[in-house]
Order: sequence, then C-alpha cells, then structure tokens
Amino acid sequence: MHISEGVLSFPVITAGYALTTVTVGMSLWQLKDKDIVRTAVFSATFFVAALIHIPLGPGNVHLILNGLIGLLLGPACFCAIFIALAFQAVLFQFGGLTSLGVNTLNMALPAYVCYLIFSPALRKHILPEPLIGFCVGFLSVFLSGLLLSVFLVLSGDHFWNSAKLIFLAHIPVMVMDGLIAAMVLQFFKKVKPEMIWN
Amino acid sequence: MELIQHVRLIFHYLPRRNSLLRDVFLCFAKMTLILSLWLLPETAAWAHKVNLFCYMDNDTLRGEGYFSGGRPAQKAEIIIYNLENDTVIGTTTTDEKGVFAMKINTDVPLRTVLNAGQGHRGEFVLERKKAVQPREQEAVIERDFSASECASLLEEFQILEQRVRQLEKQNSEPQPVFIISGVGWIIAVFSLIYIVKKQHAS
Repeated sequence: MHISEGVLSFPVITAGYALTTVTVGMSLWQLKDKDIVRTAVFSATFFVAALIHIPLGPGNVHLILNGLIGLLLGPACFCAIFIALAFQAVLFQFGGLTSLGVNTLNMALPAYVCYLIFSPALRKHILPEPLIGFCVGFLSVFLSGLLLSVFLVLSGDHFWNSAKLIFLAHIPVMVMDGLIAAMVLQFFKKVKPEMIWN
Repeated sequence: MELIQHVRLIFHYLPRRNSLLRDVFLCFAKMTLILSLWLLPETAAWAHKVNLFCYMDNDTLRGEGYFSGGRPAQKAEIIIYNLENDTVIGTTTTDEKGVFAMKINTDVPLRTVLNAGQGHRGEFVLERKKAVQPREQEAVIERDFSASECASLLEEFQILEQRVRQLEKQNSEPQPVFIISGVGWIIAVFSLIYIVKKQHAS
C-alpha cells in the first residue's frame, strides 16, 4: 500500500505534503501530554505491523492496522502514522520521502474516518467490540485502497484498472486486518479496558 | 538538568496500573534508544519495496524483480533507459518467475525501471565498462576450451549467479536489529514532542 518514489506527479506530491502538514500539525496541537506514550506505542505498532508478513496462498500479505490505530487514537493517528511512515521510508525505503505526504494521507485519512464512524458505537456499546474491530480493519484497508487508486489516477493511471487491481489484491489484507483488529479489541476489553474507553 | 526533569515527567505519565507494562516499556525504551543511536548511521540502502536485480549476459540484459519475502513481481512492466541521455532503449515485461531478458545492442550504461503497478516501482542502474581494445603490442592469448571445461565453467557460473540472487534477497529483507532501531527512534521523537509541548506550556 506504500507508493514508491517516482510514481506520483509533482502536483500530487505537493498537495499531499500540504494536506499532511495541516493534518499532522493539528494532530500534534491537540495531542495531550497524557496521550503521548499511548500514541508512541501505537506508532511503533504501526511501524512494525507493516513488516510482519503472513503467508497466504502462493504469496504473503503484510498487516496495516491503520483502522485499529485510528479507532484507538482518534486525531492523534495522523502524527502516529506520519512518524512511523517516515522511519519506514528512511530505514527500509518503504514508500519514499517524496511520497511520504501522500502515503500518510492514504493511511491516516481512512483511519480517522473509521474513528468518526465507529468510535460512538464503541463508547455507547451499540455493537460488540469484535464486530467493530472487524469492520474497522476491513473498512480502513478498503478506503486506503480507494484513496491509493485516486492518487494514482491523479498521477496518470487509469482509475478502473488501478482500483480493480488494488481491490482484488487487498481482499486478503482487509480480512486479515479485520480479524486482527477484532482480536486486539477483544483482548483490550478483557485485559486493559481503559485502552478502549480512554 | 531541565532535560532530566522532562524525562522524569515522561516516566511519570507512563501507565501505572499495570506495573509489568510500565517495566517492559521502560526497559524497551532504554535498549532501543541506545541501539538506534548506535545503528542509524550504518543504515545501508537495502530496499524494502519492489527489488530489481539486473546483469549483462553477453549482449543480453537479464533481470529479476521481486517483492519483500522473495515473491516474484509477475507480469511487471520493464523499461530500459540509456543512463546518459535518459532515452528509452526498450520495454518488456517479466514472466511468472519475475525474470526478464532483453537483447541490448549498445554498450551504454543502463537504468532499468520495473513498474509493478499499485504504486510499486523499482530501479537498477547498470554501469557498463566499454569493451577495451587490446593494444597492438599486447599479445592476445587465445585457446580453445574443451566441452567438459565449458560445462564445468557454466556450472560454476550458475552456482555463483544463484548465490548472488540469494544474497540480494537476503539483503532486501529488514533485519530485526534495524526494526528495533526504528522503534527506538519513534520513542525518541515522541519524547522530543513531549519536551517541546512542556516548554510551550510553561
């Protein structure tokens, strides 16, 4: 899901950085002292999750977990994901520094959308936690795939070709992320409920 | 002294209810900070993206594209550029094994780009030494190789080629020590954010 160097056009890169600067800046501004450790832990989780490859059929998929991070961090997910992606780009050339802005938006916007949709349901106990976890994991990867298609189209790709390929390639990731998010939420509910209802 | 006070404050805000989590976090933070400061200058350019490896086999450019974990980049678009003037020399696609071969008629240095779609892109630059003409005074030693010698040389070459590919794949995988170093840097950045926010507040 990371866009490599040299794929995006200059206007897309500039717009991506501009939007990321605004969202990350606002996220840092709103970040409370007591939430910094929690945000750091989830940022590190996001950093490591992308490196965990799970064998699936002939190939393998890697976890993203942006939905889960968005649900548990709220607006702070922008800075958590930005910092994690920056170190992935510097240390592993995952994505790239020029596409860092777009990659951050691609991961963090769906995470924040999931927070807006599912956070009330989680707080008011409208739906069971594992179900919310699965929906969050599934939807966030789906939305990230959709955004990725849009960014590629803006850089000259054909939308339906890109969207179809990305959607098909990420179906296993959507399911995997959904299952992992469901398990994590269930685990937090039993072991450390303040992580969910903070 | 002020820095030490800020670090103490960070530790003050760590989870208290679960003391095990607190201890693990503190221990991990210390270890990773030390490791990361030690390791970051050594970060090599091993790539975790679509990897491309190319070499010349007489007048044929051969190459292999693969994702992390060694999964081949199948049916990916390959574009070969002249490195000197950035003109396209030729295009092709990889097969099911992620490999390709293309005849190259010039001896210019090459830049090969692999486009695997979905924003995945890999590059490989092949600097080529131009063929050196033997000077007149130099005696050129020519000798015929027997069929068995040729077969033995070919076998050795194939073993070496396989070994180079294995090493390339190994180097493209992130190693645990660098992953820990990355986590350390993330903790360091958030510590810095905390200090800056505290300074602004005061």
